[in-house]
Amino acid sequence: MIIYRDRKTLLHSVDPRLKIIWLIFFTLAVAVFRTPEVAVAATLANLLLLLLSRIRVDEFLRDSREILLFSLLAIPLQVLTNPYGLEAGLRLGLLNSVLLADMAAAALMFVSTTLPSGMADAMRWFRVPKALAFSFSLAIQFVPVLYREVQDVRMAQMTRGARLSGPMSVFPLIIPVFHKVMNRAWELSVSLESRGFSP
Amino acid sequence: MGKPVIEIRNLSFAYRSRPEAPVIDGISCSIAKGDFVGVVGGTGAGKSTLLRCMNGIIPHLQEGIMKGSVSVNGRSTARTSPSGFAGKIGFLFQDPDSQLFAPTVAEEISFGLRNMGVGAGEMPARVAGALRLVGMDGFQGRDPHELSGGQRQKIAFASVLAMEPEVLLLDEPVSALDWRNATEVYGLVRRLNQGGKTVVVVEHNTELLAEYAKRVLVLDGGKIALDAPPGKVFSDKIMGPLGLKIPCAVRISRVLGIEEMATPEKLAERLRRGK
Repeated sequence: MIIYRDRKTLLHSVDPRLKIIWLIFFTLAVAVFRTPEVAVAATLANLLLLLLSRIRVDEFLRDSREILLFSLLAIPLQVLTNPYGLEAGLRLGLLNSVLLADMAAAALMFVSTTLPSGMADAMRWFRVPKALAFSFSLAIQFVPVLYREVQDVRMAQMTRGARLSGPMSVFPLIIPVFHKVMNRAWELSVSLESRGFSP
Repeated sequence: MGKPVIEIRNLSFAYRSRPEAPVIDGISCSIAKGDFVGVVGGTGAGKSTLLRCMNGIIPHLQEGIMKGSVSVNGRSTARTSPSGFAGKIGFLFQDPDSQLFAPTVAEEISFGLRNMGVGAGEMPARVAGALRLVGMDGFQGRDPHELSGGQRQKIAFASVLAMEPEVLLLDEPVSALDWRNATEVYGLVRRLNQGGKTVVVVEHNTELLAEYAKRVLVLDGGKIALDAPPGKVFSDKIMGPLGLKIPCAVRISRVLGIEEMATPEKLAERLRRGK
């Protein structure tokens, strides 16, 4: 789950504008120079930042589990499609997988250590329109809300006898969760405007 | 009576889906500076809708057919959006979850302050002050979503109080609180009211209104059925047919066959004096 983790660390207090510049630089470097050396350097940089952020490894892995699993998809994709054979596919797949995980981890680190208001302010400094910058930071803050809504609907259905297991179990949740989230988004927008927010 | 802050003239409102059944039906009233008005009524009586008309949520954000006018300090709500009233009117929603969105309590409370242009230097003191008011000192770094329902309600209230509005519109502010916390919150609202703030509160708990409100509006079918001080309202015969709870002190007074008193304290005093 993508979530801000409140800690009193140097990394948390770094200017969000600097963090955005770092994230862009990091992502470009990893995407352009796709070598094992870059992958190792990027992984080490992420580990160092994780250490500085004082976010526990288990917390970080829990937050990034889905994204990291998604990055592993690069391996079978390369193995199945690489024209130079299995070994080359496996090697390239592994490299791409690590690079993807590095990019995702850097983005997650940014979100975990930057207050959404700071993120929105930094984006505005980069001339992103206020409404867009705020919507972006709000969308990130809505991820845990969405997660909790899914859990609530799931529990409500299971306590009334629904058997929700396996990949198909997501379908009975879609409509009630969508309905709740839309209501929630509308109520939140009314509340934000009542507290003086104006795009 | 003080200078009118909120003036409602012949107000009607119906949702677009049911234009033939107005939720508010021709209400006119005036709320003076320093008033403490409680709004009661059965389910669907139009209490929350009336409150939402007072800061411009209706007609700006909630679609429907509105007739008549509402003005706050002479400014029409039809011409001023809720954000335009934010510094003057604080609105507390019934469900705190619809209000809370930030990852920390401090961020949540400072949201409105930032919109008002309060500087970063002043922010921590304002946040701490608001938290102190609701008895949540030291919660700045906590995730609001991990707090109990009652604590979330208090945080939502603190986020409104931090903006230091002149008028407080509260929609069932203590619905998630136990009695002790509820009376603490109402005690705070009373102190704010004594300090000059105007309060309008939608509340189903008539015991609390009997104790704290200076004036009670009883709504029925979108109309004002009664508008009087709590002592008079809660002893009125209209309460029973509307399905509203008659405060215990009034019921005991009736059983004893004495003058009806709205609060236990007044009843005790009356009994001490003798019939």
